Amino acid sequence: MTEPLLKVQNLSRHFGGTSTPVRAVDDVSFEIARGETLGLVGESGCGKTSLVRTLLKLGPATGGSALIDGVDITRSGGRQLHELRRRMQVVFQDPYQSLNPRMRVDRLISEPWALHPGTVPKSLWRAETVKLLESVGLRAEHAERYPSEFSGGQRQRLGIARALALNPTLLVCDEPVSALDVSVQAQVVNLLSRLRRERNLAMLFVAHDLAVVRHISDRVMVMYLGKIIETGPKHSIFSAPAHPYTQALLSAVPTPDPRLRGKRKRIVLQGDLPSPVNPPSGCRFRTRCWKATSICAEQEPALTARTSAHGLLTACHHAEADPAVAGE
Amino acid sequence: MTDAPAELLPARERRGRRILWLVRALAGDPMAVAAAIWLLIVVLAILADSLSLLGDNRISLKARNLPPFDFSQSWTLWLGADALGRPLLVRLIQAASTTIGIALMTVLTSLIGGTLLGVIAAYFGGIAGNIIMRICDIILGFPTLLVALFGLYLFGPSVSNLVIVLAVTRMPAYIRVARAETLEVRERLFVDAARVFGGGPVWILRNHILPSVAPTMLTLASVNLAMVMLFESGLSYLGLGIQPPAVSWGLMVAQGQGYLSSAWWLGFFPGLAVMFTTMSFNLLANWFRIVNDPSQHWRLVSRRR
Amino acid sequence: MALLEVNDLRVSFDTAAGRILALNGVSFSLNRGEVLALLGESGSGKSVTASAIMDLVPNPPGAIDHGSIRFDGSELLQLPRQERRDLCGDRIALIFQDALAALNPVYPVGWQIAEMFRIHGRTVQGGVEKAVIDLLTAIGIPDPERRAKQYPHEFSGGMRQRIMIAMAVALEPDVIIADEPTTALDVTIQAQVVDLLNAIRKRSDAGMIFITHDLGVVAELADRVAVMYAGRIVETASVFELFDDARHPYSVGLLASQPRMDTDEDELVPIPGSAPNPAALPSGCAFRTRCPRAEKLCAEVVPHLETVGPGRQVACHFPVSPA
Repeated sequence: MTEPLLKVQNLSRHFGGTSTPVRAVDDVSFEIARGETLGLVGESGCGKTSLVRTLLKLGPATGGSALIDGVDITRSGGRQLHELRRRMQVVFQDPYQSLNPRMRVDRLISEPWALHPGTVPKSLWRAETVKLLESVGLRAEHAERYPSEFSGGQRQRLGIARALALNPTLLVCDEPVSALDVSVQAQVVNLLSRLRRERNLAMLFVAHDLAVVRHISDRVMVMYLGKIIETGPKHSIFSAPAHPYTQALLSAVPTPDPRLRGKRKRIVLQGDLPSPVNPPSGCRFRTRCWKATSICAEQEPALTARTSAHGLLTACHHAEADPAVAGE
Repeated sequence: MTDAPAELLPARERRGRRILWLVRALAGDPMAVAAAIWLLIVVLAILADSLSLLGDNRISLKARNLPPFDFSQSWTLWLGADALGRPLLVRLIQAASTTIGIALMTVLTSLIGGTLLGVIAAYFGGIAGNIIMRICDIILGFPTLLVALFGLYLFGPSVSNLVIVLAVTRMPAYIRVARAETLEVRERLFVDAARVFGGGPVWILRNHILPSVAPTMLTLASVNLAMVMLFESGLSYLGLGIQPPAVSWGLMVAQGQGYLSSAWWLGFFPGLAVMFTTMSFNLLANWFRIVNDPSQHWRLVSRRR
Repeated sequence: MALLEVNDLRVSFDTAAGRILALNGVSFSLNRGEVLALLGESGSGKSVTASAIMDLVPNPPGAIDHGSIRFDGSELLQLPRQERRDLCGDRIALIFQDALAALNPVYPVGWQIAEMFRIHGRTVQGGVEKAVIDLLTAIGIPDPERRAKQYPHEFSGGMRQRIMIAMAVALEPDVIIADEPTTALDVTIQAQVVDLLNAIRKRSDAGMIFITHDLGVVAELADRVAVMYAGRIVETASVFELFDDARHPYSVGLLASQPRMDTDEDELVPIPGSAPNPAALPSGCAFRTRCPRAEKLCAEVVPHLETVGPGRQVACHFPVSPA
């Protein structure tokens, strides 16, 4: 077994004071192998954005570690961090916000090279920019334009081209298609799939659209209130989810088939997401869970294999597959 | 499959389009056109004066307090003459170069200083940021006029002191706006993106934050131009600004005050010049603001209904 | 006769890039008890349609240039301003996408719901307060007496959206227009809101216009669908016909480009290109630049909506043949 590309161990990110911190990410561990795509799903407030920002070192980690090729990004700084940045790049959600509107495309794309002298010599910037633009389905002459002259889908292609400029081994995609029009989403998803194949990229693909995550991921991880509550190969997660929250999430996805209207079992969750300042004791989902018993309040369930589904790890005392809500 | 919203154009042609659009945008706002014409006249007059094309500016006792609109005289005397018989029109133009020059210098100083301090206060925060903002509060806590009077009294009235005093009293506004803008831009995703590429604070300030706050700051400066002009006129009127024999509009109003009943034009025309010019700056500033805000563009091209 | 009938509606906006036609001849009708989905992407004109019906088109820069909107026999575009305003909110209600922005932060939500009754001078049996509590109960807000006194920021996003819905249905309107009410919500909350809307349509005989870009929600809620593209309706069909047997190449492309939860696909089938610039629409059919079936005719002649079956219309020179 080879060493994973990214190894996250007991990573936490708390905000605010030490007495009552907001536990945005709480004791999260996972791995991504080379060339593998890990999908991360969860609803707003579950901590996925904080997790991404901590991994990218846009904010400090409160505890734990995140090793890329054995180097801990949460504890590195200066030259070491600068070098690590080359290996891990990001595609942001909003292509209207993530590209500086006052910079021309050629400057946008070559910015990473200007910051990392020695990667691409200045004389080759022009040629490399064109190569990158073409690899994401844009044309050479686009280099002389400003972001405002592009449509949303094209801007996201620019964002992807720029993220690939330093030839990273890990690409973090933070909701890369959710700001795009439906008919354009598929283009960008296909582009990411192709690039991943061609460059053997590992990806952390964060999204709330379960169908898109299912399409692109090898493995999937579900987050709830700062914790990973279920993870496994995508077919296990989507065909035999064992955690009640995953089941509720899957059952809530509208099916684009009017004939199934009202025929599918739908689990409607009661109540709202509890505050991450003061999460419920034991299992964090218990306040909205229909299976909750006294043990759920007393003991925090560990993320372990609990059902026969291949590779599926579930953090629930009452884990059990429910065939009626499987998405597949 | 990469159709574009805008057709492909070579860079030069696009620049041409930009100029064309500016002309069209100006045409959409008649008040701004009038303002631009007035300012153009003022600038041309100042140029003509600096090239000594205006001729005589000697004291001439014959023409003392010559009333205006006496078209039998030389054209420089059409607006009358002052108490020493100097042609008022020429005096007005000379005063214009002082008044506008001081205003420009002041605004430039407070623009550059205020932007830098505000950006630094916002981006780095901490003790430096706090000190900068507290100094702002202190300056803002006193009436501007009082600070200016005190400063000029202390250091003596001279053009450079006037510029410094005016710039310092205006600076807090720039610092606050620059700080607020920077705080907003700093949170934008493209700044995060630059950080992920490994961009340090200096890189981000120079390449991302300064270019983003610049348009707002320029708009503020264009509004301030008129305000500073009024302020200089006021200080000169009070005797703490421009000192004779140099001349500015405010000083001319002050000197004309004693003659209000006998020679009204001595104070009236410089007052009118101040009014027209400040109004023009304000109108153009408003136009500039709209041009810089794409969501307001329709105001400039809208069909009249 | 239809409850609401929109005919050849044209709306334009002035922009720096010139005048753009946001709606370019939109016609549809809505019957009592029916849910009509307006399906389209950003810039297709679906929200402008709602604004035009609700008299919310900002003027300037926008203007309704042409067309008619008939509601229950009267022509809305010719009504005096005051009458029109009375009608909107009372008999035609709008549910906004962004509930947080649409609710006033400085008043308690109960007060804001009660305001609906006051503005339109309605008296209710048992008093307005009771009606408010009943409404909050109906939309599933626990402890309504206490919650009615709370301010919008004290509610979660899903609850705020349900409060918006309560306000819209408070006066039992004849037409409910829902402008992307689920777009900003998480999937589990979205399911709650869709369920609530479904319950409302079962309870009342109001007609509902549901504006969305989400095919899944359309499948869950709509009776009929009007697909919009670049300011025109390109296809209308019953929801079953649309999903089984779409005829317009754009509808077909939209359906095909969605990843599915129940099958594995190697590659998605996207629609090439992106939505056209509304200031420079292609000649003829606006979709032709992205259309696999486009021919010379498409660039020359604008296809108009033609009836191809009962309740089915397609605006295409070369529609996909029936399955």
